Amino acid sequence: MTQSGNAADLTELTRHAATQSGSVVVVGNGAAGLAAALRLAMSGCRVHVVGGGSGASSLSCGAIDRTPWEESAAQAESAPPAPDRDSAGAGDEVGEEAAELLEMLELYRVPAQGMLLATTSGILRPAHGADRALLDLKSVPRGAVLVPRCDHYSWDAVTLARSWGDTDIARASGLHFAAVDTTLTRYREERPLCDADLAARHDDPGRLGWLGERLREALGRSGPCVAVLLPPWLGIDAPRAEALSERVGLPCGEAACALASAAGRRFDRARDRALARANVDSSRAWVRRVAPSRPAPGAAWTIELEDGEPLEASAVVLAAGGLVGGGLAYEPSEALFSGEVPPSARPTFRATIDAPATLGAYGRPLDLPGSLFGVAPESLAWPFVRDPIMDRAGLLVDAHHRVEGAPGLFACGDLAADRPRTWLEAWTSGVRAGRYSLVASLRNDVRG
Amino acid sequence: MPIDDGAIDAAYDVAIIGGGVNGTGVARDLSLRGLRVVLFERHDLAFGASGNSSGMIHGGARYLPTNPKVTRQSCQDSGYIQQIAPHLLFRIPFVMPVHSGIRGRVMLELFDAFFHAYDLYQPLKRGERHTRLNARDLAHLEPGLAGDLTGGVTFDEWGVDGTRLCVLNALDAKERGAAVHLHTTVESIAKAPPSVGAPPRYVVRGRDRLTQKSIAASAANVVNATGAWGPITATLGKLSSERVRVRPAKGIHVVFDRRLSNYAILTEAIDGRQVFLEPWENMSVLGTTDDDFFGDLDDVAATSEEVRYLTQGISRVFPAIREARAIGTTAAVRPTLYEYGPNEDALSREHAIVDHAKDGAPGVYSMIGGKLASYRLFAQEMSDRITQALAPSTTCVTHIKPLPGGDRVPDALVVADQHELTPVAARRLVYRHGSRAKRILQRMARRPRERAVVCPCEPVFEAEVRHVLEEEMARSVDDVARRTRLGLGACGGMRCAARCGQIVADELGLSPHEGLEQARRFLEVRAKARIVAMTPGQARQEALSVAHLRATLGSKGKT
Repeated sequence: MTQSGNAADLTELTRHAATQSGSVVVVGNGAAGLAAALRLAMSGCRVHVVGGGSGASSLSCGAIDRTPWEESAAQAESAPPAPDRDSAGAGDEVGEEAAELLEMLELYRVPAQGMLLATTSGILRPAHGADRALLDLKSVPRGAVLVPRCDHYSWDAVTLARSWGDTDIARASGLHFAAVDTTLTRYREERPLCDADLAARHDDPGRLGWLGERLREALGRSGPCVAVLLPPWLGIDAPRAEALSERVGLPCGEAACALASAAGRRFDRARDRALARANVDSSRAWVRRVAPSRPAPGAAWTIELEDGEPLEASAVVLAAGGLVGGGLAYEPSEALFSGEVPPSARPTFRATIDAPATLGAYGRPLDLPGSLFGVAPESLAWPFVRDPIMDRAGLLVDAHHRVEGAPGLFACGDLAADRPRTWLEAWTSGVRAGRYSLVASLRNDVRG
Repeated sequence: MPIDDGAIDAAYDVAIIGGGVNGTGVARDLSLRGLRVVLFERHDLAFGASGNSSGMIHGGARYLPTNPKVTRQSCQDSGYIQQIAPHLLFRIPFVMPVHSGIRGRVMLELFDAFFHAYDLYQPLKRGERHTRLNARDLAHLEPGLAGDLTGGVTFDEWGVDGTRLCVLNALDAKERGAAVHLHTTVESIAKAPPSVGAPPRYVVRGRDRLTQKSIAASAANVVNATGAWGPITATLGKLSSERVRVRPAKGIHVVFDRRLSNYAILTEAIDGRQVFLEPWENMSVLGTTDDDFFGDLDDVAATSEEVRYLTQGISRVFPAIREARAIGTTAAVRPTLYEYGPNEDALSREHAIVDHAKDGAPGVYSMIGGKLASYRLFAQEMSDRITQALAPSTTCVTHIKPLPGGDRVPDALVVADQHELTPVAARRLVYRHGSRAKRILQRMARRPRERAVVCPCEPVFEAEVRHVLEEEMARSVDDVARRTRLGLGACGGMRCAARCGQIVADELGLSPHEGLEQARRFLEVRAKARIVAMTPGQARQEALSVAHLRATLGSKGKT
């Protein structure tokens, strides 16, 4: 199929979408699955999202990148930056759609100039975009950033401030960080609570007001400041940074932290709201198998669940995640037996959903290992290997995220082979899969 | 040996090279006898075989048929070590399952008789007598065992944290006046300019590998206690490496999350060698291999092939090992006494002292071989040789005087109660530090911020991290991990390395950037040690670790 022919198809079929009865099942409710579902729902397609729970998106730190930031940073050092390629999806055929759909979450900002975030590991790092609760240091003027010092195990303001200040980028941006004593935990019992629990408390406007007062007091004791950098505690239902900034009169925001962060929980909430607003059916279940339907009118695919009645659809988008999300499993033969020698050799990775798709990496199917036990794990992973297969393995798909030989079957996000394992890549690949699965669903529907 | 007439920073009685259990053992022994001692270590304390052994103070049962005297000595010394560091030893009951069949029934009789003889020595180390189990009792006591087993035999040994043992020996030496230079590589050993009528003295020159500062010490005696590095060290003094030749033998262990079995399980690998799975501290350790080593001693690592050999061996009787989560490996090279020809296991692990008087360097010695369980005896032998000339009236007291923290060890549950710690945290703290835990608890009382948990897996408090930096000579994230087991648990340092790096930088006056670099290096080394034993569950964790590292810390490129 030529590119132009395909585009014509797309326009025509999309026009029909509102009146046709094609339906798509999206497997996975992380960033990729959500993007696909919203893209389909916006075209009037009937969508059902089946999600199994927390994956990489729910564990993300709130920074959203197209390419891993260290690679972008390394490239920026060696070559002058390309003009305006930072905004969400710029230069991509679904770029504008991706950006519009992202707006629907009301959670992320992707400014054209990119962002600069502080992390709880003590570095400053660039990002294409981020959760609105995070403080964008790129947007604050030169000066002192207040880092409130408090009695909580996860937040050592003094060393963090010193660590952030000791970076080239802080010196170049004229930023310094001042740790100032204050109280952020209101009750003694709060001290052992984890970040996400404390974040939930700040959904309460009264509590946020209390925090604002503490910060104003601290600002009164400190010298002049340009912003306030806080632990990742600013809301779970929605980012509360803007409300807090208004009360304090300075930009306030969180530092990024990766595990069990508030940002991951905020994603979950924003996703559930967006799906509800778009009238997308969603259910919590694990998919066992996706197979072509026995001749059944109006459906091309049967989706078998671990528990519950099977679903029928004219197209399926697989977005169940990679190793972190559980769409992929590392399963060398040695892991599957309890005797002395494995009964048979098998590829190193397995898609946890049984589907007529080929698992591969580097653009080709996975090989059988030269050992009955499995390949040597040294050949699979960082730090032994640069660009390791652990970062690339997935279902082989074409540029439209179609699985070869299985019309109507798509894969995106971390489950697709050879794509960067980043949030924005998952999002745009979901938009792409949504767009082309819509076309396929109509075709399959017509065929049915 | 050449003559060195350069400037000297300080003069000592004895210069010891090597911060393993032999070197630190001698340093403590001589310091207790009032001698002035300096110790050089190229890496960190317990960097090599001492810190990566099977972690046992065993009673030398294997010598029973050929040399029962060695067994008696070993058991007696095990008893002494329990007395001087009661907090650091823990009982490891072993079981040897025996397969059905005629051979099995014969083996069971033999084991029963063998351990009956071993029972005679058990009282010396407060050990339990052996028991003979039928198949039913065996299944009841160790439900994880599988296969057609006719019964088994239990016996009793003691476990120890080899790294802590070295640290405590070095610490005690230091507190009694010894100078301890860690991360300091020795670059030359030479004779001091001779003076008429006086016994010869030696000059040892070292360079601090972190600061690049040079240091020169003179001493009447030099002890080469560098284990597998021994021959290299000898050449620094232009001594022939031939007389101190060792046969380096690599041994690895696989570390699993949690205690997987009630007993340590001893069985045979595919080639008939003994392998074991032991519950050790809060984890399980599978060991060990024994292969001739021709690689770089500074960079010894387990390979997935070695891991598979061990896993296969133990899975025959303990199949659940395949579902367990491996969270790391350890690897080290034993300095086995040199003997060309016999296969590895037939070699003796016994020790020897080489007197370099024959090479024209009287007062210079090399300690060859040795093992964790007999370190104190070996150190005593070495110290006796040195004091014959230097201080003949002194005697060894290392079996009587407690190691730091080994006196009046507090009850962990009382500590938990008094200081509002979880019982697990209190037990781990008291295990590592004995009565010195009080110093850490005092820090926490003085500065409540130091109650913060830095490593939730172990767990390790900020106060303990600062304590080992200030009082136990730690100089990097890696050193802190060695002393506290920070970052060696299930999360692989993902949650604690950066924070630890920040504290290290703060305590040692390094730039925060350098602290984080140390954290990155630590995470990379840990990842390498884990991936060779990667299981499906752990692969998920690895992917998450990489995502976490990328998100909040970054690494220099992908490798």
